[in-house]
Amino acid sequence: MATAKNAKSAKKSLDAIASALWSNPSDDNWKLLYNALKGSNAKYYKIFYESLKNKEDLTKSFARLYDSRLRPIARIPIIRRKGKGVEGATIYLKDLKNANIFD
Amino acid sequence: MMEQNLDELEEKSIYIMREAQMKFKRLGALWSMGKDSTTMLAIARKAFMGKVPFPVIHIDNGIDFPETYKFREELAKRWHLDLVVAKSEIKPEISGFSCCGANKTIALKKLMKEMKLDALIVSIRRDEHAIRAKERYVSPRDKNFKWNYKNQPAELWDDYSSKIDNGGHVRVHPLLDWNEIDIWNYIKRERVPMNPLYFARNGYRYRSLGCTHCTVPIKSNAKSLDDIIKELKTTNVEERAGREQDKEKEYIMQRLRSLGYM
Repeated sequence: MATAKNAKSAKKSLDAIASALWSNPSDDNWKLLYNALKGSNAKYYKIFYESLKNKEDLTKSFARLYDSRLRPIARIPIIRRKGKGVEGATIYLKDLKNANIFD
Repeated sequence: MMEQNLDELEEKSIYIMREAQMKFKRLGALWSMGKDSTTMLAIARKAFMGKVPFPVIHIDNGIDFPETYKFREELAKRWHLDLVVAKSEIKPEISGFSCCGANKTIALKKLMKEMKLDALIVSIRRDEHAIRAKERYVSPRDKNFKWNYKNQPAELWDDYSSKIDNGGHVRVHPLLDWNEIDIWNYIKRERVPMNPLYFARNGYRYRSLGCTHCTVPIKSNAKSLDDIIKELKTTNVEERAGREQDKEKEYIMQRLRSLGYM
């Protein structure tokens, strides 16, 4: 059972990884996020995006992560530049549940 | 009555898949982890004694729902699928619908060339969209993936054309005569595993699944298979109402399909 201390420490770790992802959305950082989510209280994700008009707009897409009571706990990018194109990374959130339906 | 109908639909789908497996040297199947393509795989397992004897292809643009990825991995392992993931680059310079078409078609073209596939099973149904209603069970594509919807082969009785144009391929559509409620009745009867996003939470669910950017949930309280089936009997909302791509005009959909989009 997660204690308050564990939850606080897990949140700090998630914040640090989220911050690292925004500055460097590398495969290694994504894997770090995936592993950190397993030990955290993150339960839901929700996707936000501006438009599909161009790659630049698409890279602004992000996912907000929520705990079991739908309190936001982190905000992470979900699309990154890869070469000339862009690549999505929602696969790293596969252990969470979608909250886009909670509108 | 419903059981007899499902049996007839299933028999025809099994027949078409077995014919395709026999006639084409290199057959593959598209799998989007949606209800139709997963049902197709369940039927394939019945057709081929518990196995799916052809590669199962997921065109992955990286922004599918996380639940979809999880479902993919779990079912691929459980059913020992020969899963091939074709990575596609998202091309959003054009609008949402065209993004999907261009994005997935380009990845598919590249993969089919690499795998030298000459036929592809696609789980479309006639009732999904007016343009899909024009399709045949076995539908040729030319070397540029183009679909000549004005000049399609006749399908008389159980005779399906397997002729492949030079450099082209053939699309096989075993679920063409099924409708949405048939699919759900079959899923219930055969206990086909399903993506959890189809079931309602907090008054919403996904009735049709696409990627995270192009799919919106619909209002629904259907939390179980029985609820979904009951809902479908009374709804007047189209199945693909939550898919942004289908809000484009029908002739655009036709044009894109003719260029190779699923």
